[in-house]
Amino acid sequence: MSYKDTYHSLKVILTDKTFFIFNPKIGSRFMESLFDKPGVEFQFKNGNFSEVTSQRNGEITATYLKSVMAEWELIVTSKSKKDIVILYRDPLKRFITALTQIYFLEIYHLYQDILFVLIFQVWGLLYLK
Amino acid sequence: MGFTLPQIKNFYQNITLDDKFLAKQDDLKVFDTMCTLLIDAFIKGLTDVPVHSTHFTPHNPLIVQMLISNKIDLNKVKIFNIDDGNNELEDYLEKNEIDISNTGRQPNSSHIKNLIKNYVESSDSYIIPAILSSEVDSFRMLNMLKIQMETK
Repeated sequence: MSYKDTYHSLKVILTDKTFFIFNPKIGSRFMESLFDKPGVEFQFKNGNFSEVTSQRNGEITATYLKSVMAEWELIVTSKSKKDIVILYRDPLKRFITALTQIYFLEIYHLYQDILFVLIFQVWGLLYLK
Repeated sequence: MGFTLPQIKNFYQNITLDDKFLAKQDDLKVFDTMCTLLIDAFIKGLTDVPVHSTHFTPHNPLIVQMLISNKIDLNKVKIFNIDDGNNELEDYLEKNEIDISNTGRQPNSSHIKNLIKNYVESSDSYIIPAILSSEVDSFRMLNMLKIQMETK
């Protein structure tokens, strides 16, 4: 998956009073820790939630998924009594936070082929001049 | 004096997100230079290499799309900018008697974060603005929508 063709998805946590909507690096760790369950990741197309894109290896039960979808149906028909709380943030801050987190987790694997070339360039610049 | 390849390899493999570890390194400048080169390589390749992360998925445009779709009752909606320092989310949770005291989190390395922040803010690369343009436009729209919703 490249950035260009990344899918459009949103994460949801449903509680007794609230339908929370967020995404990775937009309060996700806080929300999932707070309610001690992973957010359900839905594909979001044409203003609607469609298929579930991540169930975190069975951590999310079918009953819970059904209740989330059922609540969304109530929301779009104005029958829901729950609040809808949507989190958002400054995209530049999200970008910096995301890059910080993935930097050592993923960049090494992505660039391991060129990593040592870069290291030798730096090494050579600093110590072989 | 230079580093041997095993030393460099060992150094890189033992990097953690712990500032205390970084503070112990003898030559932080070399580390910073390597990091900046890698950040540069990463960002320049961001548009055409695989990014195995959901951290860059679109968000703000989807929320704008949802809010202007007329599908949901905006009277029921609360939108919180988690960066504005107003703690609206925390206030909402406390108002709803949700205990937020047990959500301690491990912050990422502030040293690495500052390196990346400095790079991003000083970069004249077209790539970052290009990647974030729709997010930034939508962010501004959400800020305006939020004001409208709150003053209604």
